[in-house]
Amino acid sequence: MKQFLSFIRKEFIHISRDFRSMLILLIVPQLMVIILGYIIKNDVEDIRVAVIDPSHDVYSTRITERLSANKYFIFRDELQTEAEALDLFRKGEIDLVIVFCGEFANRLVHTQDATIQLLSNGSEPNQASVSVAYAQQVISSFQQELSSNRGGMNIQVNNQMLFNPQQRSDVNFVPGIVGVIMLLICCMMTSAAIVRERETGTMEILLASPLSPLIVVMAKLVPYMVISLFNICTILLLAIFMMHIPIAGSLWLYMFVAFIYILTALMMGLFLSTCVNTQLAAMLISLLTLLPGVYFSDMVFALDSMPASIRSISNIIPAKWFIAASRKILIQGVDIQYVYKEIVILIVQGLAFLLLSLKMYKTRLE
Amino acid sequence: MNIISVRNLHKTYNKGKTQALKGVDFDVRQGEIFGLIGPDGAGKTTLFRILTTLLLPDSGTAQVDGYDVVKKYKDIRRHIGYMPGRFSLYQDMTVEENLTFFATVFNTTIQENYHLVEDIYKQIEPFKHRRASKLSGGMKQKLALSCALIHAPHVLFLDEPTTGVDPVSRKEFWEMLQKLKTNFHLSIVVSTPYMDEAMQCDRIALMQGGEFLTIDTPQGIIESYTDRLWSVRSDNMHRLLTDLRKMEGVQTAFAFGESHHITVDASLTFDVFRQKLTALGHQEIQIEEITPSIEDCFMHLQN
Repeated sequence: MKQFLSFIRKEFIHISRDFRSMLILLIVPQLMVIILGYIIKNDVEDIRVAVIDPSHDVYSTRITERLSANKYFIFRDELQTEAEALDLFRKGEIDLVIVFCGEFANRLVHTQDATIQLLSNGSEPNQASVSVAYAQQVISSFQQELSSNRGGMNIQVNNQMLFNPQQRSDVNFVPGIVGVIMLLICCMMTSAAIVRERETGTMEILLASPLSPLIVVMAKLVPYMVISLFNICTILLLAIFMMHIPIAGSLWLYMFVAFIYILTALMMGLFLSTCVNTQLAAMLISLLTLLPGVYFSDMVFALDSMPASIRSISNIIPAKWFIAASRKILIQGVDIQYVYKEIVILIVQGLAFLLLSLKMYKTRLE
Repeated sequence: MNIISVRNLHKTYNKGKTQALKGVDFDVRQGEIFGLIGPDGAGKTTLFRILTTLLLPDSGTAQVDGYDVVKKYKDIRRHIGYMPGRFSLYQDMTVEENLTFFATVFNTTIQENYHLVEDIYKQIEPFKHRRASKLSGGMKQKLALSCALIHAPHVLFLDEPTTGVDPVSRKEFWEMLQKLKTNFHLSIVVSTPYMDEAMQCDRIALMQGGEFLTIDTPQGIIESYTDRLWSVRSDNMHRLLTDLRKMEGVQTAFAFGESHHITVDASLTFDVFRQKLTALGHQEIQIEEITPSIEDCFMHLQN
């Protein structure tokens, strides 16, 4: 234990005496969040649709059929209540819910006050507005056909965005940018940590000592862990007080998930560090992992609009799971049972990286 | 009793293309200073790294402190002090921080073993809040030695500790090693490319091209040198060397700083030799019969 604490102290000394790197670690992430907090994403496919249809008449079923036949939509389920819909939204199983009014056909033909309500998921506002627009198109074309046959048919379409009624994209973007920046910081800094000992020759003495690989590896993690937690906290404060992003869910739950995510990213960095021989290589590789991190993490580019094969690649990116979980927590305000899948995946990924780096850690020089 | 025994050690690099050690055999006795003397590329560092469990030998066995370097490497790592050839402490940490860190790495404290490093550490203690990167070469060596000693190792491995250190610090360094040997009966394996340092060791191995040329006490090595050795100087040293190498009765001729050392046939006398040189146009000729140094022995064994 004393060995471990002493090693951690040493790591802190390394970081604190390298003043410029420390500044980068502690300030750049926050700057990135502020600067990048205003970028938008777009374009959607495979919108998963559920229907609440109390009428079940000829017109309402025809609209449902039309939607299901449309290539942009996938028909998922017929629901009874809005509560059910809300639950499915939280689980991330649907993107859009179509709610028909009661006696739809009757009101359409006779009283001219038939309504359809479109419920969409505001935690991904761009995707939500695009899917609403597609749905409206389908409905209005149906309405036109109907009108040309019988004349004067009117459907009133309301849409309601759940979770993020103001459609703010920065609300959506902040969890994403946090995920990617933390990956960059954790991964890049730790990836240099072990290999630096190799480069300066100090590894030679450490290896010829009774220090166990586990102590070395874990002690390297702790300082970056502390720095990353500090970053998460300040970014959250910025998000709340400067960017006025509403936090729907529990901050404690978010911090818990962030903690696990940071661990996973650190382990990934350590794993890289055990694979390469120079700090430069470590930096380059961690920068290269950043790119798929941005592409496949659902931060900027909607995963829903990617081919299935590429979407399956995204599953190995830890950032994807963290971003998904943090959107659910921060924007939809869900409880832990709705994000346990993401948590479990992050833990498994972290452990895998830890085991790999212990396996790759060379107990000798070659 | 032997603290280290090495049997037929082989090591190659680049998948066998470079032979670093070609079958090395030796023992180091408890409480002696054992010197590995040889030029760069002789295989000294490779041998050190195998003995400190940092490299695996291709074949052969080595035991340090009674443990096998391959199977029992963890036991060895608890009881050895190692000072690599390159300065390998943390440059951004102070003198005191470095020493404290290495003490805790070996589960001990500075206080516990202070008596071991006292003599050495006292000299750098005034600078204990200075960063290691800001120390002079000699002070760096003292700090590195303190860090390698702080856990009271059973055997100390010093890989070229005096390379790049000024002559005064080199002398001090050897005095410290002698004290460690006498006061604490510490076994020390030390390598150096400087032949003049060989006399400081109890026993030495002359090493070249991954092989031991000989192992003996420095005195023993010198005594086994049977050739007649002369030191020669003249006004034109450069031409003298070429002339000497062509001359009949001269077996070998090497430049040795200010004079040339030659070995000669038993028949050659000072007078005949002087006449030959004068005939070749050399002036201010000085000839002296000398006792060989380790370097002479090394040159001799090399051929």
